[in-house]
Amino acid sequence: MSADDLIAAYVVELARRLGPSSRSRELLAEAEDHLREATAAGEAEGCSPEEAAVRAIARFGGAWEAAGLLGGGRQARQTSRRGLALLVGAFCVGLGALAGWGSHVHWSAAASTSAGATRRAALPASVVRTLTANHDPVPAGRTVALSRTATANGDTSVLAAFTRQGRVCQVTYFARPGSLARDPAYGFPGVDCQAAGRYDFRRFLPLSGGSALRGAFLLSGLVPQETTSVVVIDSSGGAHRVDVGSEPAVATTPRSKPFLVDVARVVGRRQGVAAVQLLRDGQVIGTMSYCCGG
Amino acid sequence: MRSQQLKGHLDLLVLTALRGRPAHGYLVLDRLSRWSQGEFTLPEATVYAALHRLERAGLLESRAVEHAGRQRRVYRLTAGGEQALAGERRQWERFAAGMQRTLEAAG
Repeated sequence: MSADDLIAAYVVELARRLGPSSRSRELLAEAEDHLREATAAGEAEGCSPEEAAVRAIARFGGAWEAAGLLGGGRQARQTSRRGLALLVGAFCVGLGALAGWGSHVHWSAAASTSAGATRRAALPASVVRTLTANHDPVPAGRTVALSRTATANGDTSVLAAFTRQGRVCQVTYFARPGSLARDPAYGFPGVDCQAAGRYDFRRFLPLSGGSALRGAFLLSGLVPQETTSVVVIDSSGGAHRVDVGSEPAVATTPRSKPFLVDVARVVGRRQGVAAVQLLRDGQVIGTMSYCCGG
Repeated sequence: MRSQQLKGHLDLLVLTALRGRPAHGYLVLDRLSRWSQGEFTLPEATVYAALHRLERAGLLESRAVEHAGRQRRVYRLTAGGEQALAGERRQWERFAAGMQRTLEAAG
């Protein structure tokens, strides 16, 4: 996820919490201006654009907190589970960017509704562009925990993880219209990418000790093309590997760990084995290895 | 300094940062950080909330300017803001002097 996307995603979340009004539009423009200036300052100090953006957002404060401080409406004071999950998801997207994984935020079907149109009208132009460029609908009753772009088989697809009642209920692949993934020579065999090939986790993956998802990433390019592995980190730091086959039936292999994890990153691949570092507070506290088929 | 301690003095700090020098929110924060040599750090949205509150109170006025294709809001003190700053500053100086004397007396 680029610095621009990170800032736009934050402003979208802030907009959601402020609610539509002319006052909100001014606040959002001011917040966006601040974040872009702070990001530029971070870059001048030697940070990568993404790292600078994540830091700028962190210093500005969480969207729910900022909305409350800036005079947000009812939504600003609601710390619902859904809001928390979104917040954690957005945070993890930022962490993912720091770990070098490109990310991509999807927004709900509201973007195409009249309510969504009202909301868009109050958003800065850059945010509107983000919304309109990412219009994949969120399944009803589910919360987007995060989404992430990943390159596999020479093409870029989007992984989106959804939660419902504190459990990961679905991980979905979205192939961009016109992407190479629609070509069988480059795509995922058995997957109709043109129809936005979707893998449903028929069995819920329980999230131990919490209601949110901390992170997820693809072990793309690791396993045979008919299988994709996803590592999911839950809010208590449990790390789970989930193998997604080409058929809707999915093998799930939770591997909970008794320690907290803030972020995980793939640090190396060789002969079908990936080494994954698990980090907490910037310190590597463990490693996990993943092997194709295992 | 803890943010809770700073919040009681936030208006004075923001007014001071804008005294004679109109600025946008980021620059206000930058001035507070530099002038305090990094001592004053707050959740940045808190400073924006203070700017808005002071503007509603008539102590600041703002105008939107175009900067790098974005709308930027620049704040400046009003005459009322100048008076309020002077009053707040006198109060702070009395408070600080009293605190200093108290601490010295206690050894």
